[in-house]
Amino acid sequence: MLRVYFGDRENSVYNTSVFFRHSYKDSWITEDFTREIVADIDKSQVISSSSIVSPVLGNISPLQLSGGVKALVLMKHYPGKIFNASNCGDNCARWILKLAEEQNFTVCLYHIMDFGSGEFDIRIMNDRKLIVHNMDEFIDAGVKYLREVQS
Amino acid sequence: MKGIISVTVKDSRNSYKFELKRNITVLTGESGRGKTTLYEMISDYNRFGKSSGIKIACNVDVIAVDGIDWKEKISEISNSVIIIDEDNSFVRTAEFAETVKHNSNYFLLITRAYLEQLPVSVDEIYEVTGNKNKKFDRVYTDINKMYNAPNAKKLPFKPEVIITEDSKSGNQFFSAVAAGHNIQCISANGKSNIVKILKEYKSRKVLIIADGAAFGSEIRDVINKQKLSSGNIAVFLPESFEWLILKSGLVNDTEWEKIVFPENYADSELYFSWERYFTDLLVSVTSDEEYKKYPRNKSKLPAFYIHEKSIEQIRKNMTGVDL
Repeated sequence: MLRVYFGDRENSVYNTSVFFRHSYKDSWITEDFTREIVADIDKSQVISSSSIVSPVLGNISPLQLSGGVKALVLMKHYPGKIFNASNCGDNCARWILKLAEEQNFTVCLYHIMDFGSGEFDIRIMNDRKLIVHNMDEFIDAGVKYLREVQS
Repeated sequence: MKGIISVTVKDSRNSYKFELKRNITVLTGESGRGKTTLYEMISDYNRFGKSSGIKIACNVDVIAVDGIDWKEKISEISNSVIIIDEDNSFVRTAEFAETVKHNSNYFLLITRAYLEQLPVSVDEIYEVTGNKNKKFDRVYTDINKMYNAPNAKKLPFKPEVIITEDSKSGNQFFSAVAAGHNIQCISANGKSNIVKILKEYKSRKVLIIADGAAFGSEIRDVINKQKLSSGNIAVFLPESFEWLILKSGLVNDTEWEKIVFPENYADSELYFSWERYFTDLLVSVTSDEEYKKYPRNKSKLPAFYIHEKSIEQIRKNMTGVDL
């Protein structure tokens, strides 16, 4: 299940791009999950562990992938760590939910991501008993806790 | 700084062309569209100049800022465009908001974070579009200041409840308008409370009225609620209530250029947001006529503004609302 903290959390990773730069492994780049998200989100094709073809940027390295793709790859490979999912656009949301069907992990959010019109289960860690099932409930939870954090 | 700043950033693979017209602009949107690429191109140009292979055309400096010494870096920059990427958590702090206040620079912030402390305009939130030739497109669009109306044919919107952001002059005006129309008018007592109290009025026709000049932090959540409301929520965001009065021509209209082209007058060092600029302008143009004198603290709206004829004149600028 996906677990979400609204606001800061101790030991979470805010700057996911820097963390990715110093921790990714070549084998992660060529696995099916990464190939699929690179194709969907960055509209690019993984050729090898060190080469990705982008229609705009040409031949790029994994370090030039989008912030959203980097964060998703980290979420998959470090399920025990808390990453900043506000580095992911709404086009990453369905991949976060898909990943959460396979493993439990926690993210921090500093905005209310749009998880679409379907049903889902997300545990809100600011109130551990709360599980939300759709965007209406998710917005209500986000509004409450994001604004509490700020004030 | 004031005025429209045009910026072009180019290399052999990417070209970005955009304009900034207020002290704060937010760049947001989906992943993989080239936001960070823009930041990195500007950062490379700052370090290596023309030998980076990047060309920047702009009549002021464009500077990328990051890291823990952000405050010191910004203090050494003036009359420039400062771009900050999303990996910098300091943009969410009160200290950063204080730094932006009365600053001569324009700030371009790449972020999706909730920024309650910054008065971001709903009109200055953009996403990157295009492949090689990229531009900025506004995320939230309007028809006569009615935002993200699902269908223009559904306008004008007839509300059962009006929620205003403020509890002072704006609320007094709309309460006067609502009286006699069997419409409930309530104050949210602050922009960040609007989306919280929406759930109390589920299934009723609700019109939200707030200052568009500073509602940027709230608009994403309000529009997402609007999408889920089956047409029950409408969002009217004039620049501010004072702008609405000024635009109606109810008061001295010799200053129309200052109303129509505020970007040429609202100096970022003087005004944290255009809402404050329009308040100052209204106070100034009404200062000579006692009965029209607009109070700077907005506490009590003079009777002139809620006279039937005045209401009618202001309402003419609210074509998206059926009142």
